[in-house]
Parts: sequence; C-alpha cells; structure tokens
Amino acid sequence: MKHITSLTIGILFGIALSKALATDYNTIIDMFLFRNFHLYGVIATAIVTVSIGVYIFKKILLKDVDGKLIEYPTKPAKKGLVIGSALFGIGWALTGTCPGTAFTQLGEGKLTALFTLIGILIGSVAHSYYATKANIPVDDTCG
Amino acid sequence: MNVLTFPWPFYAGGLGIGLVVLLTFYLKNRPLGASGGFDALCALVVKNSYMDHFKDDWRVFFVVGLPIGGFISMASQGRWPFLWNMGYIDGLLAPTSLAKFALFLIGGLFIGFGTRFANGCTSGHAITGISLGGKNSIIATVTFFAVALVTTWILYAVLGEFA
Repeated sequence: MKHITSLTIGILFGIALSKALATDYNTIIDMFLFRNFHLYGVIATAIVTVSIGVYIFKKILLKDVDGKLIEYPTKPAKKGLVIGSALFGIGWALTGTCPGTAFTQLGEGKLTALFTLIGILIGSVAHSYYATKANIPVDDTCG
Repeated sequence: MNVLTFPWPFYAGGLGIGLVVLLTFYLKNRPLGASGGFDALCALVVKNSYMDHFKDDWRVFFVVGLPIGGFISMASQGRWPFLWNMGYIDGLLAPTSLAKFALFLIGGLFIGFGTRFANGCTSGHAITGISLGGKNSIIATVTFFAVALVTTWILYAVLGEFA
C-alpha cells in the first residue's frame, strides 16, 4: 500500500508537470528569454496553492494518513546551497529540464531525456562519494 | 477545459502541481522534492555512508511514477511523440548529433551534482520550500534561476541565434 501511494503521487505529479508544459524544452527556454510567461504563472500558482493549503492544514492540525501530526520542515543552511544551486542553474539551462521533468519527459517519448537522466544519475553518485569523503551532514528534508 | 486538454492554462497547471505537494504531506508526511528521488534510486546500488540515508526511500516508487504520468499526459491527447527532437536546440545542433547528446549529458551532470549539493531543485526548493517560508529555499531559487537565465542567454548567443 505504501508503495502504491508513492507511485500514485509520482504519476499525478508527472501528469501535472506535463500538462503544465513544465516538461517542454521551448517553453522553459522562452521563460528564461522572457518570451513566454506561462511557467512563471504556473510556479506562482503552485506556490500560492501550497501556501494556502499548508496554512489550512496547520490551522486544523491535520493528521497524516497514519494519524500522525503533519510536519512542515524547511531546509537548513548548508555549505553547498549557493554553489550547488549555481551548478544546477547551468544544467537547467543546458538541458531545459529539472530533475522531476527529466523523468517525465522520458515517459512522454522525448528520447533525448535519456542522456539528461544518465547525466543526473552520474552527478548524484559523484556527489554521494564527495559528500561521504567531505563528511557533509545529510539532511532529511532534501528533495 | 477538461482534464484531457493539453496544455492546461497556467492556473490549472499550478493548481495541479500544488495539490500533489499537499497530497504528499497527507500521504507521506514529507515535503515533496524530486531531486532526492535520484539519491533514492542510486542508493539501490551505490553503497557509501551518504547513500545509507536514502535506503527504503519512498521516492523510488515516486520517480517510477513520473514517466508513467508523462505517458498518460501524452496518451490523453492521442499522440505519443517518441522522437529525439527537443525544440529550438535541434535547429542549432542536429537532433541526434553527438554534440547535442553531449550537451544534455553534461547538463545532466550539473543538475545531478548541483541539486544534491544544494539539497533541492525546482520542486523541493522553489515550490515546496518557498511555500513553507524557507529562507534557504529562497536563496537557492534566486541563485539557480539567475544562473539559468544568464546561461541561456550566453548559450543561445554563442550558438549564434535566439531561435
């Protein structure tokens, strides 16, 4: 059951990203070139939706499906925050995709995403060895 | 508009993405973020003390669901492209050229290392993180957005045209 809900969240997120055009290379590039403001609207609406939802969840002390009070952890300060984000920014522009949309693109039949995904996997593995060696504390709120 | 419409108008797309984040809080009691899913996948085969933290992570099945969602989205409009073309870039580098594949592979390396080093990506930092009022997520988002913007301008200037 646990795995089915995980899979369902992934499927729904993939559908939403695809239908929102977040997986479309040209729409992403046009966003950065200020030629298309669609995705700014998508991101802003998503942030407003989650903010209002979380505000209500907190007000009514909503419990999760297992009956535990839901927590809303924010990400802590971290050594790689700015450098890592800058590296991600370069990759985002080169591929026109971010981690979630790269997976979704593959299902959409955009075969070039295969190379993006291989790159991301190798990058993640490289980071894990670096983080192990540099003894960087792992934070559980990562996403 | 109905669910089969493609694409959805921006407010429907944003609402859909936001609702999935809220659903994740309810079902998983976790802030949704996609890049950690790559660690969860890698942890299935890579063993080191960093990856040990990602054993039995719910996001293994989450990332398996993403391409299924992409497929359903395409199928709902009665077409499934199945092609190498991505967009503008194919007018500058041949669709199946080594240069283009190298560009995406190298871009992927930057995404993989960068998002893990920064502890989040567009979903974890920009959407979930900012919604929760996380100061570090705002710093991360401003940084990756600004760098992506400049990189895109340079890339398309260097490649000789603004598509």
